[in-house]
Amino acid sequence: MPPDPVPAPLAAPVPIAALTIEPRAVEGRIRIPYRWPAGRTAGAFLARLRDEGRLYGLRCPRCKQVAVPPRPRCLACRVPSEDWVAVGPEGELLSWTTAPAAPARPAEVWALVRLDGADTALFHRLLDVPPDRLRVGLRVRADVASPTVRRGAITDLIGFCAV
Amino acid sequence: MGERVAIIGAGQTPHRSRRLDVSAPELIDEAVQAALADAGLEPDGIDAIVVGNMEHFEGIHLSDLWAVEGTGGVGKPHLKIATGGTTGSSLAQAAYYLVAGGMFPTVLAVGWERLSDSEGETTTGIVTAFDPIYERPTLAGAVSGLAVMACQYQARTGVRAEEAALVVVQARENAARNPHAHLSKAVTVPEVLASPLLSSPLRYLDMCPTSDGACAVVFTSRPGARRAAWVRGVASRHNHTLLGDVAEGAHDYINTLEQAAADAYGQAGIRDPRREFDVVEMYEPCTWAALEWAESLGLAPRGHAAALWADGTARRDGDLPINPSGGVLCANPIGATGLVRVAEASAQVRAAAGPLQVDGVRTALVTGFGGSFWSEVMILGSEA
Repeated sequence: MPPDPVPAPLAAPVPIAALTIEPRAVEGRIRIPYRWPAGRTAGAFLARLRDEGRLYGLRCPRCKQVAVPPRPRCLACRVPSEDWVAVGPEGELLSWTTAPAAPARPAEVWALVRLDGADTALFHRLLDVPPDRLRVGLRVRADVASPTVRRGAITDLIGFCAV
Repeated sequence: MGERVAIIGAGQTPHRSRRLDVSAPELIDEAVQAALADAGLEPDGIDAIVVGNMEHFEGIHLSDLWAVEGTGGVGKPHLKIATGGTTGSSLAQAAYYLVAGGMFPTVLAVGWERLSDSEGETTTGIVTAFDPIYERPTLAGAVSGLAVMACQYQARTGVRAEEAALVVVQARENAARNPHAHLSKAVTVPEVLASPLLSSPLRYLDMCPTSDGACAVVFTSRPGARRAAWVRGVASRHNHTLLGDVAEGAHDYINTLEQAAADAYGQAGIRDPRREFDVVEMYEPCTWAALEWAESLGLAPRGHAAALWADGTARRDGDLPINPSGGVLCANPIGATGLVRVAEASAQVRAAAGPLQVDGVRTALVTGFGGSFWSEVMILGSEA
């Protein structure tokens, strides 16, 4: 029998921090379809927006404040709100931000609007309001999509135009 | 009150736009080893660990499963905390509660984020944070809510963009001394005003960056003879969900930072924050927010915070230094960002802040910001 080969001595250990390491990464893409239920309150709000083209809020039985979008419990009192009230279609501008035009995208203005009859504000697009007219308190009016294209989503409200 | 709780050590990675040289656990390990060394502890000196990132940025669910190789949490209680932008400050609060409650003598808080991992960077994670029915089609993103808030602040106070710009000019000056800072190149007011508009009134240089980084902080009820920063006040206030409910003017609007500050000031016996704090480490995601929130914190009268930056009060050698580290405007690894504020403030109180040290710090104010404008506040002091 030949003798076992003598193993070669290991190279002296090198600390990892002393190694020059080529940055290496694994690339991936995660694509997962989801379905998010609107629930009873938003579901009713969105169905009326689709069917009637109108915006509704829920009034608190205790403090009488009207939340738009409607919430099943008053934000402040935490009691159930069941009293639907039509709001708007006009309202006032509370705040805004303009996103600049990009190569494939025109400039946009997005805004917080408090609809008449509501005590909370809705964030949505401002349509065709020149920048020099933007000011707190500007009167605006909801622009809702035509009945044939409404599908029961917040985007059935196209945005707000200056009155 | 339970046990008195002290911070005895903290560690950070350098925060960079891309840490492609390390995996997430390796990144975390850098901060953990630095914190243990700063606290003079071996790993077995840690009784429990709270760890967190904001989630969804890295495309990794159950991130605590991955993070454990960096935190050293195997065989120990290991709790994950994820509260969005406040994740880091919530980690500090959770560690404080665990120690104050007498559950564990020494707890390590570890926050981390790798924002470079996804192509969309912050947008990827933040879009999925928004309500899918009402706000994802219209609002979702990191900048828009802050822009709407800044517009309201500007309309109410008349503060000009060049006044807000001074916040980042000073932040960059401070960051030039901070080896951990991601952005430390000097900028001028004209450069800020000429930087690209993101979402009015916010320009590119008004906003915090997106960073890769980690931070770890040691909380203990048994500091022994080690230099300690004592936790003297802790408060957190959550908020409603939709922007229309959390913006000023909404019928149930609450200023969560004002409320959290009042609570924490009460615990610490702070009556005149402008005079009693020696340094502030504020979570300021954009220049305008720093102004508005300095007022919410009672550091300046309503509408007049810009003067703190204009007259030098907020400078590192000023009467009330704000973010001598450079703040969030100069480094923002989101799940660590709030904890970095705690790390920096505790180092100031422990006189261990090196080149960032402000003279004679006895009391420090720390804030965290997240989600739909919710807030956290921690007060640290040199005396228990």
